[in-house]
Amino acid sequence: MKYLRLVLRNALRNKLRTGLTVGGTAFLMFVLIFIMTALTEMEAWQGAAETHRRIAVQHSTGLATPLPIDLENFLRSEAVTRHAEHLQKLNWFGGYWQDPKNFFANFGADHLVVRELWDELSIPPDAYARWCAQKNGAIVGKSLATKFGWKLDQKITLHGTIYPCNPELEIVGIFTSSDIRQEEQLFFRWDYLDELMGGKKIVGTYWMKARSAEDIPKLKEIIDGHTKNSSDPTETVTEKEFGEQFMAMMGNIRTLVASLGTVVLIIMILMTANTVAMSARERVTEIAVLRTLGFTGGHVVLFVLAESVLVTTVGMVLPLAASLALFNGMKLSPNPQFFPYFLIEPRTIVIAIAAAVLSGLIAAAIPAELAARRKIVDGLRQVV
Amino acid sequence: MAIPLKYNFRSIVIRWISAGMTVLGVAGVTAIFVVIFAMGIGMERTLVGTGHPRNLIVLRQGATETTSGVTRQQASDIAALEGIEKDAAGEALVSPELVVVANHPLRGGAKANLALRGVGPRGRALRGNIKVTAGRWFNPGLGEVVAGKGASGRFADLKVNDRPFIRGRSWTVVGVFEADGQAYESEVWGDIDDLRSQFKREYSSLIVRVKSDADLPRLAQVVKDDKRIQLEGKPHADYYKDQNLGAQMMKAMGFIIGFVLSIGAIFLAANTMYAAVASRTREIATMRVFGFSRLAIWFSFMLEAAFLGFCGGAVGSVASRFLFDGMTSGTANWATFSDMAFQFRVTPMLMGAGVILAMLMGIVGGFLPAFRASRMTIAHALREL
Repeated sequence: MKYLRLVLRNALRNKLRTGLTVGGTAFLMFVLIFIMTALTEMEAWQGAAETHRRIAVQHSTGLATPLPIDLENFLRSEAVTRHAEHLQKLNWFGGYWQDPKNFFANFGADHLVVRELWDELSIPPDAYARWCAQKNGAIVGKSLATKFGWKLDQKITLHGTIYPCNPELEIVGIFTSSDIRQEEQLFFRWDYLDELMGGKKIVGTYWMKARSAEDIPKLKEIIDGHTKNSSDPTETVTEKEFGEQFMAMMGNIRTLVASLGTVVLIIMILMTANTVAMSARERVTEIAVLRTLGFTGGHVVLFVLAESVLVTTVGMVLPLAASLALFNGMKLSPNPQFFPYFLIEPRTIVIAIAAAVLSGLIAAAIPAELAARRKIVDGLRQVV
Repeated sequence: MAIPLKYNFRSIVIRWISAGMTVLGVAGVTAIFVVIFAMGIGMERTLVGTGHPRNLIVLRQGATETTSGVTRQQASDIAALEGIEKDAAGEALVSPELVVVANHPLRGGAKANLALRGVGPRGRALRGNIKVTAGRWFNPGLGEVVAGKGASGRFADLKVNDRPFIRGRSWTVVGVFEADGQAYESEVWGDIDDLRSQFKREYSSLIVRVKSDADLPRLAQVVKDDKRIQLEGKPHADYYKDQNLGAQMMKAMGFIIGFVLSIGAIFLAANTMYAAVASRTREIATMRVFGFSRLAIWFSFMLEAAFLGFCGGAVGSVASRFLFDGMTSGTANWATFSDMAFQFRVTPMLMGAGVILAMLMGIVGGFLPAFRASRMTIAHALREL
């Protein structure tokens, strides 16, 4: 700590050079944070999913194939309810409001268990009571309602793209959630959807809550075993696995985006290394003088490393603060349709800090080592 | 008079570590820009251009082929409409089709959504660019299918003579086809009646060849307004163009990331050039004494900066071309939720754009340092140690 002043003075000696390095690092760091956030945002659902012990039953050929209504009887039988509760029929409706661009998550869902199954949503009790009484009622997340300017009691028409019907819904309640991303949804009643579809009893997925973590593998075995030789075999998955299907659909684009992040990191190291090497070269004589005064090689290494880490850290703080303000504070998103929110996660912050420190250390490692190893006489003799 | 290029070249060689790091940094930025765009261009090539210019696709309002439904009655009503091209035998050039997706294992072991398309007898002719490259075309009624080249390469069990189990039955792959790299290559095709009886579904779409360009919007209006039909007609090419979300997203990403990274690289170039100017103060003064003008010195340093940028751009572009061009990958087509194979396309145009971008980084980064070099007063500069 007592050398901090020295390090600071050294860093500020060539203000232009340090400034340019900090600036360059800041822009690269911004891209790194941006890429990381794009990745965490794609995985956001899976992160939240693990704690709720929810499982989904879907058709083994994929989500596009509906499940038979007969399965409900089995899922309500004692063999299943011993391990799970709050069974819900949940159909992805895939409708839009007014314009196909207004695309958002909307579901036809059994309303009676919504509160127990999706227990992280807070639905006002009177709104819930009204929903139970009104067949064409819908509840929407607060953030979604704000986005489209929806008010309580407003009538909206959803335009169906998968189902050939256009539900005319009335907003009976607005719910909130601790995770703001979950407020980007609309639920309407499954029985209303079925009525519009002429009572065809189409079920997209069945959802339920496992009674304990140990029940999950048992449920998979029981349900998938039951349907194995039927005309509609099922695949029972956890909520996390359910989300991972969509990740898998992205293909290796994620890997590629992540490796772009690595390249950015390498560029950052090159840039800092360039600066550190230039400074170290200019200070050869000075370092020799320091060592004559009794500072050891270790001290010299420390000075060079500290200066480099200082520069990269300052270069990291600026874009981190800026992106926190823009994305988490002002709730901006680079693509509102694809990412309703673009929130920087704590782990992204940790990675940004680690990347800054690490690139500072790696960039300065060789120049520091060279500076410490050079013989004092050689250093003093050298004319810069 | 201009300062000889040899001077710049030798100066770079002497400061090779610093110059090399700058070149590599610029190369990295260029490579990122080029690779993201190569993905975007690859996805775009798959979708844009798919669909014959005089084909109309008829679907349910707002639906895609995987979600749409068209009844047999609607199909025969449409086939009887005016303005539809007839083939030599006098039959309307219409193909009723059914597209379903199935979760099918990829070659690597993970699963993805495979699109299975049933086509009518005129379905192949309506595309006009389907070439069988291995095996033969399928015969109706026998559960035979042909696999697109992209699907065959990405998914398991889709080579000729394989018998994949897809959605409740096994099918026989009798051939592999190509379609100029278009979206069809990511699909498996079979006979419409085979698929319909297997999935107990109606048609999902109708592909219609119209007589003239003017018939495209006219027929689209007719199928919308006709009380018996009430469906949506779209030019087939537009249908695919509208699915191009992924590519647009990629390009937008490429612009943002490329732009911000370039600013970072400009700082890097500026740093290097400032150091170059600082270490050559006395040389600059000497050249001024020899009579080289301020402009000549400015130009000389600008040239050096641009050259560093050019080297970085060339290294980055060429490396991306070797590493990524033609690489096959796949991603979800979010409009249909089925897997779409595409190839990275590092085109010469894109490489050129990368080099120009890199030179710009050098030029912008070198501008102020070169200006500083040209502003030095001789006496002051010569005195400096």
